[in-house]
Amino acid sequence: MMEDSSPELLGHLFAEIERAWRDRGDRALVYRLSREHPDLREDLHEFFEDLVLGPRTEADRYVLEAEARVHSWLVSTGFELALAAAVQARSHETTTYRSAGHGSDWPPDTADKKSRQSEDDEGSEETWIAFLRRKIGKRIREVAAELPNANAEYLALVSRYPHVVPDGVKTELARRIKDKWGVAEHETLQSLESRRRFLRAASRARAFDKDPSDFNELLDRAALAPEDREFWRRLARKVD
Amino acid sequence: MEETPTGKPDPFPYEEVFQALPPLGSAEYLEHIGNVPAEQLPPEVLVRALRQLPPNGEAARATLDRLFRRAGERWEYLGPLVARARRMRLNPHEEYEDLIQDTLTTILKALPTAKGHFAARAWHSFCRVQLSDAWREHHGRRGERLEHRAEAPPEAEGADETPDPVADLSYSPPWHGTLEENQVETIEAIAEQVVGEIDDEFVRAIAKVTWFSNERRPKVSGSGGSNEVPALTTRFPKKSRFQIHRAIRQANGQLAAALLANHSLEWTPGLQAMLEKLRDS
Repeated sequence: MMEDSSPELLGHLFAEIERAWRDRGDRALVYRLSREHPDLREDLHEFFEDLVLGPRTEADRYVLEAEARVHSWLVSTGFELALAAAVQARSHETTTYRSAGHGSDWPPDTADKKSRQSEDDEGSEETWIAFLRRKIGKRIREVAAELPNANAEYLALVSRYPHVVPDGVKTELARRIKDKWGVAEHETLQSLESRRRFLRAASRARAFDKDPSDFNELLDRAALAPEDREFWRRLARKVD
Repeated sequence: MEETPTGKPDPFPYEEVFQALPPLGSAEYLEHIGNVPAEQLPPEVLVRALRQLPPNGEAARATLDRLFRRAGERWEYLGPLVARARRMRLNPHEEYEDLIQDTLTTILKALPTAKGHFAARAWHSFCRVQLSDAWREHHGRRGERLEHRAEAPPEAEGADETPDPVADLSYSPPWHGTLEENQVETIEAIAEQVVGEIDDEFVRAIAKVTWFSNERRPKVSGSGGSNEVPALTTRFPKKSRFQIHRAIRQANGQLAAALLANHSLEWTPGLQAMLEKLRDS
């Protein structure tokens, strides 16, 4: 199979097949490319079949439920983190970026960190980020923009690792959210006490990325401005 | 216009559709991408728009919403990706959800980067590559081999002990019982042409047996009763049930493509039913 060929080559051949089919209804190219790359024959034909036929009309219940959960995760969290990553990329890399076409494409960016962070904001139980969106109708970057000393990365990390966040920090966040949007403090605190992540971990086939060992490490990962990081550090020390 | 690695020009494939969009980010744009049918709004156009929109505006979010929208239980722009992932027999079941989510994570991760340029040229190829990348993340460097193994159903050895639903499947010519009478001849002519073009001897033989045998259709496997014709595993004893299934799907994919690309065909409900039959093969 494709293990001896580069994924780049396979992707290029897929794209040739896709464009030939969608642009010209050409169904013969898959045969020609299969003859030229016999080791990729199965992959190429299978891709073409999926392109033409799509998924089966019926799928089992578990598959449909899983896809519905993934879609909910996309809407509540996945898109937000991707957009936040793009915002960050624009602010960091405009000097090396050249615009093109209608407007300006997103530049090569640092989305990896943000998107990795999104991986665990999942599952059927509501995350803190999803809770905020439901309660105040705002997305994570909008919430972050209106909360002093915070950014979207920090809020996402708090949502993902509430167990390393000191109670005093949670209380301060709850107070600010109440002052700003009127959400009862106890509701925010309850959401931050969620056990979702641990329940989910038990059913996963592989380990999560290494957790931050403590709140300081979480702050380091959040890429906050030094003064903001120091604010939360002081608050954590004061309460502890 | 950009160039491919081989130096060939790489024009945007849907330039006219893209240029016909309302001004990016306008209220008209939001209404347009929310309402236009998927067939008239290629995913590559959405990706290109997304890459040009300010990421902190409503339009970028709306564009992502549309690109990953579900119509009922169907993903509008992720059909080929989901088709591949669903066929992979993942155990435990949770792996399926993880794989889909990880794939979408890598897609979201890549869209704003240079890799996203590929998505704006050939969306389904891009998604398929991300699926393989996510699979490799799960299974390491030898993941490609496992990827194919994961798709294969259990082989016949265990069939004596465990009821095998595959053995009860039978195949009939896809146009039987679906097509309007006046179309049968046309479809059979197209199917004949497709068979003649298939370059793999085994796939060609499977297509002939499943499409043109005048007797009752053979089952994939199993001995069958006295009234039944030999199963395909009996007719092709050196081939596994998985290989037979793959051959059927490959042949059916080519037949479906031939029908879809034939603009002189009248697209009747019977023809649509036949296409669905091919899809579910």
